[in-house]
Amino acid sequence: MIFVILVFFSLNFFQKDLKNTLFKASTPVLRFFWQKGREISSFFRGLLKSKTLEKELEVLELKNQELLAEIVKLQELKKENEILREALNIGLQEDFELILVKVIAKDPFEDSLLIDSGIKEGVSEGFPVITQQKVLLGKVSEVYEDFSKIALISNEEISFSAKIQKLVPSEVEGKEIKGILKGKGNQRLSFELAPKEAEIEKEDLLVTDILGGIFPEGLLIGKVQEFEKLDIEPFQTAIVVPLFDLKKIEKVFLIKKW
Amino acid sequence: MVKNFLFLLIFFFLSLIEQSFLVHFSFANFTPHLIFIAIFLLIFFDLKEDWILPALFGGFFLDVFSGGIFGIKTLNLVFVTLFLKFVWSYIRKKSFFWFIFIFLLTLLLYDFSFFLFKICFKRSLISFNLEPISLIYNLTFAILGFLFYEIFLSLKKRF
Repeated sequence: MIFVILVFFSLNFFQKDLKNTLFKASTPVLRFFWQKGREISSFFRGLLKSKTLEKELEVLELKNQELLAEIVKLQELKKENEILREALNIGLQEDFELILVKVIAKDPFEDSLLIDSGIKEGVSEGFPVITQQKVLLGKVSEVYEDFSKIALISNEEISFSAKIQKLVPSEVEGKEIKGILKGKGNQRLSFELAPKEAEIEKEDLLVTDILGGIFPEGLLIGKVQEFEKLDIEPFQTAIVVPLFDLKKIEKVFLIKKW
Repeated sequence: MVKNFLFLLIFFFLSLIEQSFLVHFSFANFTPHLIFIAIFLLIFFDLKEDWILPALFGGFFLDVFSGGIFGIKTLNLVFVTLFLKFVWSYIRKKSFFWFIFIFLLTLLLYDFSFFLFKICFKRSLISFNLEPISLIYNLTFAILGFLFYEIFLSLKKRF
């Protein structure tokens, strides 16, 4: 028995080749099941949600109006930005150099994803991973010949610097609340080491911070669900809900350069 | 030999289902531990067999699809299989009540021992969370498996 277990651990020396071969062999099946699972689950979700759709529509209409106002405000800022760019002679550039990849599997117990690109496609460890909407998913944690593993931000081994960006205009608008975002497993996040005097509110939006240099600044992370401020603790903590929905994710972007 | 090869294929198939299909049917972000449930059912319905080899196969595929040190999940699954064999050899009454009780106990042990192995091998600071929803969700699948196996056995006897 001990011998067999030792043989298993010895597989660590060539696990990259072994995994790459097995991923290659199972990719067609994984893709098929991923697709079918997505289709069937969205069908059932649609059935379950039909009752609440009306209410959701009302809320969305209100939200839409708010967003329209926001767009007008942003358009003004855009104009201002363009003028400033011209004045500073800065050429418009793409924010990031991206690689589009496809998700083929998810490890449900480790908060990680398997994607269909690896060393051959120029993927390297540490590349940040985002969705189409610039929502941060995680970073590349392992790279094989044709595949890579992404550690989601909710992975227990991930922690990085983040900040709360106030959306609702208030006295504290423009102020940032900096802290550390830690993965808690099972798609849960916690925002820690935030100064006690800072005013954290429910629904506050979290974005990445440049500190630490792991991720580019300003990527969307999640929303504050709950927060805890204890008198005996020097810092406050908040529970954060990530903005991504893994059930809907099919393709993601790797940030090569930023 | 043929039987073992069949188990290898079954566990490969189960791991693929777990990683791709069942991900879309997660409940509160929890996905059932299909391979663990399969091992549990095998031991429950046939204690005479030595289920270590199927546990090694199951653990192997779990390790393949997860990151980090290769072998941790295999070691964990073999450890839990040995524990299960030990427990069932003492509890002779194989009632539905015992099925539920031992399943929940073993699943807790499976999660906790995995947490300990992770701390030992990865040396990372993580915390252990008791997840009642995960226990109930997995139990639902185990009961379904139990019922299917019972039906299969009764059909086998009839024909």
